[in-house]
Amino acid sequence: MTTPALSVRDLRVDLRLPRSTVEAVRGVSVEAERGCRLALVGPSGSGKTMVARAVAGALPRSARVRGHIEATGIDLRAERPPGLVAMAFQEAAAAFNPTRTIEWHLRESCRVAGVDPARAIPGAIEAVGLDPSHGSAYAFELSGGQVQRAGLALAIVTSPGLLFADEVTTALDRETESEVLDRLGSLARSRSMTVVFVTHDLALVERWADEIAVMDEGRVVERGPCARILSRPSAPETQLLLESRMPEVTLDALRVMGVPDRPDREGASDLSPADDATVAADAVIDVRGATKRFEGKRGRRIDALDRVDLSVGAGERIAVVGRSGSGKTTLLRLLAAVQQPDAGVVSWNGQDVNGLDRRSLRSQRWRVQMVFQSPLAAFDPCHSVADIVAAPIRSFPDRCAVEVGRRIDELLGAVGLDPDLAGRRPDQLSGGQRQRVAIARALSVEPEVLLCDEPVSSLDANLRRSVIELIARLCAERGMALVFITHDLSPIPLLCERGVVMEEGRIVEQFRVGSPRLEATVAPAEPPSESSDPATLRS
Amino acid sequence: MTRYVLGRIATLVPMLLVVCALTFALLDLAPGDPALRIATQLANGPPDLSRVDELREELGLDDPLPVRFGRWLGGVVQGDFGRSAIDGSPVTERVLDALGPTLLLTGSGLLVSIVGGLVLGATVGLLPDRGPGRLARRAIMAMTGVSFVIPAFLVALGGLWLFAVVLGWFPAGGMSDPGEPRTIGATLEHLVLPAVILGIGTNLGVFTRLIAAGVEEQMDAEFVRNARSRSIGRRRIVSAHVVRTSIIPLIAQVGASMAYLVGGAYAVEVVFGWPGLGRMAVEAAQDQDVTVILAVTVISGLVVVAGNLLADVLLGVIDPRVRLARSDS
Amino acid sequence: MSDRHRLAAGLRPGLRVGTVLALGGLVFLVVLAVVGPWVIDADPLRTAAGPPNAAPGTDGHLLGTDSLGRDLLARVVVGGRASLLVGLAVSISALAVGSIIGLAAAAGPPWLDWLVIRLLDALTTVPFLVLVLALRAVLAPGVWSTVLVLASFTWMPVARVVRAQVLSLRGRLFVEAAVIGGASRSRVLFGHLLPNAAPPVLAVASAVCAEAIIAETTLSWLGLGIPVETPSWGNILVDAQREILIGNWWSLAAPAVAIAITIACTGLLASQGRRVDVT
Repeated sequence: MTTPALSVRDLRVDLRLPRSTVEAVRGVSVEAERGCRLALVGPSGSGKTMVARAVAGALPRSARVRGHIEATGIDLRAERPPGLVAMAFQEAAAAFNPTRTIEWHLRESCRVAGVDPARAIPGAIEAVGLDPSHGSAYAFELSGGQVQRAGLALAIVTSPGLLFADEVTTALDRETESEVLDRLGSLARSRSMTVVFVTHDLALVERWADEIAVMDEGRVVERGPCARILSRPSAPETQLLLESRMPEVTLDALRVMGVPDRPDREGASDLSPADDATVAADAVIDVRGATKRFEGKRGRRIDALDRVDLSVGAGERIAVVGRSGSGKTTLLRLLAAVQQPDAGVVSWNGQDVNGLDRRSLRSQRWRVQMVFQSPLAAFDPCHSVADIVAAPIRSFPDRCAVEVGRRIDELLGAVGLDPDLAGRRPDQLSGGQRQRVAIARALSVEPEVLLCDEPVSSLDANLRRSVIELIARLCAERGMALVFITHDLSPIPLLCERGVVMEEGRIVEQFRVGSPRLEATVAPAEPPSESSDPATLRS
Repeated sequence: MTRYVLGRIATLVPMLLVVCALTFALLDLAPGDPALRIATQLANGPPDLSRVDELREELGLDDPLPVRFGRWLGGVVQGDFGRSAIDGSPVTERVLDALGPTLLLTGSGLLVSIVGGLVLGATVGLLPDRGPGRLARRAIMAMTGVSFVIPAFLVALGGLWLFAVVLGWFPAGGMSDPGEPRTIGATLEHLVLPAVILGIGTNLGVFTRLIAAGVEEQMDAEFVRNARSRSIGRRRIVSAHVVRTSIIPLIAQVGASMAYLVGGAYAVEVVFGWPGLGRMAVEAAQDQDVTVILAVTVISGLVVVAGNLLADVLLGVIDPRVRLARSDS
Repeated sequence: MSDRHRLAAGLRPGLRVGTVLALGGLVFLVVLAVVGPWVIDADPLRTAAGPPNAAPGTDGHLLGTDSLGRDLLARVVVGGRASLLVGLAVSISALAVGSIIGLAAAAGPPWLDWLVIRLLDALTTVPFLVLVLALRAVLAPGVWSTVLVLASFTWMPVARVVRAQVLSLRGRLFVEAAVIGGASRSRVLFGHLLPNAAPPVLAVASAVCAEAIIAETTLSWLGLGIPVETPSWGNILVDAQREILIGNWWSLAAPAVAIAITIACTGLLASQGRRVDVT
């Protein structure tokens, strides 16, 4: 019998917080053979990162560990020989000392492990595809993708036998992710390294892992070969994980579903809304020729929006997709009339909002309500949930037929929250609850249009779907129009009828989404062979 | 970096000018006629009125305020702070004589608070929060709490009583014993108590807490966890990673609290009869000697600005983020 | 329900103890200063009320006497009047002046903001004590002139915080959310901006109060603050420096303890304010 590369038996990790103790890991046993690619999968808070940190020796100071941790037969709780186990961190930028260069860290590791830096460092930098000139940089100078590669280089520079990779590709776009994974794969093969992937991304697991251990609430609920677990899960937690998975959607897939409508770039701004099925006359919200510029660094002008036209009919649900910096949020702020365009017209129900005086504009504000990307920032920290939800009602008492207290309970119920939460402050709520409160606030005055700015991107993957479904249901029930900003395409088939693609402040493409049937929209199991399409957005 | 320093100087100099102008205009309101006072002093009795007028002419006291300010500023640029409004003696020499002792005291006080803050802060940050370690942490933190509560001059008075009067370890004041020459040894002997008290009375508490908070936070920072996962030893983690990053806020704080430190030094000078600018300024304020107060204001401003600048440069040397942000702008 | 009220008040359960303690301490000192002279049967100004330099406890002099034989307890209690009055008056005027200047800088035209920032920077370049000495040279000593002197140079931190708070809060997302929810300008200002800006501003104001009391004692001790006819914690210390050299520690201890308690309470209040801000 050979000694396994990793053997964890009955691992327990307690986090001692000032007022309480959290049992993060409650008796986990995992093994991995040499050269195996194991995936630790589970929702956030399931303890998977703590298992990795316990083995790699990177636990927070408040953690107390019990159980056995061995790597190639060496008891890691007693000794930690340099270069045996390594870990690449999710937030690679934070894993570097901000006052030291990348290369300084690499040298430090080499010196401690007794490895020749002259050979090991260029090798590691090459292996992860990092530009050698970045060695002399500081972590905060590098982009997300670069610093993630630097973090991987630091982990592998001493050629460890066992490598933990904690969500290392979450911050990367699909293209870079594939490249980094491929490099990691060939590296693992050439150095016969055991790799443990900590992730919540099942698509990645499917493509990459040999074995899976599914974790939930500090325990491993299911363990086995990748193919069997993904096709025939036995534990209910695994089934839930697979169900809450958002389908992977590419723009191409959306085009296949709908009628592609691709005006050439030059003509985009001339696109007459009259050509569109929804005519401006019955539009609840409409922008024409909206242009907005910002003063950038060194007086450089940035066109946040360049002659954008968009018209949304009553009850229509539109997705606005684009990378960060493409002008989506600026467009939304113009629509909400919290910012004025430099040129162009924004109208609500046919009325030019920038022509209104402040008082008249305020009296119309109930028509358009908004849900923000980060709910906590959008709540007054002094206010309770009830105050927050009731704030618009106090401004528009005639939009609420019943007594305010009852209305609050009703609204909280409608977004699936316990009315007892009304007295809480927003920082005492979970992320999903906060976003539901934000939705309840937006609904409180029965708006004609709901504007959503990436409302689920700050949420855990397993919560996203339920919030998306909630928005879809509420829009349908109340006949509310929706403008939904997103960089992630997966919610679109569940939510929207129509979409526009933005790039550098312009609408470069419009498309229709067929009937929102999920089955039709799931991407092929194989990853797209060509990922050069700029519209595979994952910023 | 050079460009940054030059830029900083370019913003600091106008600031000092504003202060000078404000102080000059303010002190112009001071009651009393300097010419009359000097004439009285010289005549050793009721002066001749024509003599007073002559003096007014000589000192240019009848010119409008901006003209007098310009003349005064011109003198200051050439290193001439004018003459005392009390006895007509040149101020520059007196101020320069007092600057040395003030710098010595301020620098030593700063050194005491930095070294003390580092040692105590690192002790608090590294000790475990249980068992006897917890007790030591609590004790140090309580001591720093006390230092927040008591103003510098009270610490000075208390220290004077305890160490000079009761214990008799150090001399009770001055820079040398009366009648004795100023030797280096004697100066150091007289320096210890005021310097330690200045360090404790001004910044020791703040620095200790800054370092303690920094070390405690950094010891659990992601990059330290990463270093642990790379089998870097604890000693090296502390020396190469933690101390370096947690000293950054301390340096920033030194720069920000320069004016406070110099003010504290002046109070300590008065208690210990240290022949520096502070004692001089207090005496001048009691005598309403406007020229001396002006000179002390300018010199204090210069000392603060220089300290500020030094801390800034040091910050850039240690923290690459600051350095790069500066070369950007 | 009580839980909800407490949260609405912006106080966390654990923070109340400190706040109550600090407020209690301050109220005690103020009450003592106001009604103390009727309770304590001693005249702070009467010399030779007892033997000079009597140690605490002799002849019914609880805290001893000073070099002129004046009762130290009476002097400390009555001295609290002047010292606390100066602290309170200075912090209120600093709060008013600083808020107006800070608001003007944040909400006014850019040139005004530029000017205010230069002025703040310039005034913080020179040690407080020197500025105060300069102004002192112009004004005659007295309680109200001391307040004027100190208030002239203590409004700067308040102005800084008010300016920073208004600028940062105005750009915060929850203000935009309130506007979208139909909130009027006055509701945004009084319902959202002020409640959120208040804790740090009040924290700075109470820090200013502590600073003013320290400065008053320093000035009076230097003979440049409140004249000796009016007892204050500072001018009790005028004696102290000479007395401690001959070992009479109590002339230092009595006012020092009173000052320390006051500073500790205001400091505690200030840190409570800051912590509420963070949550």
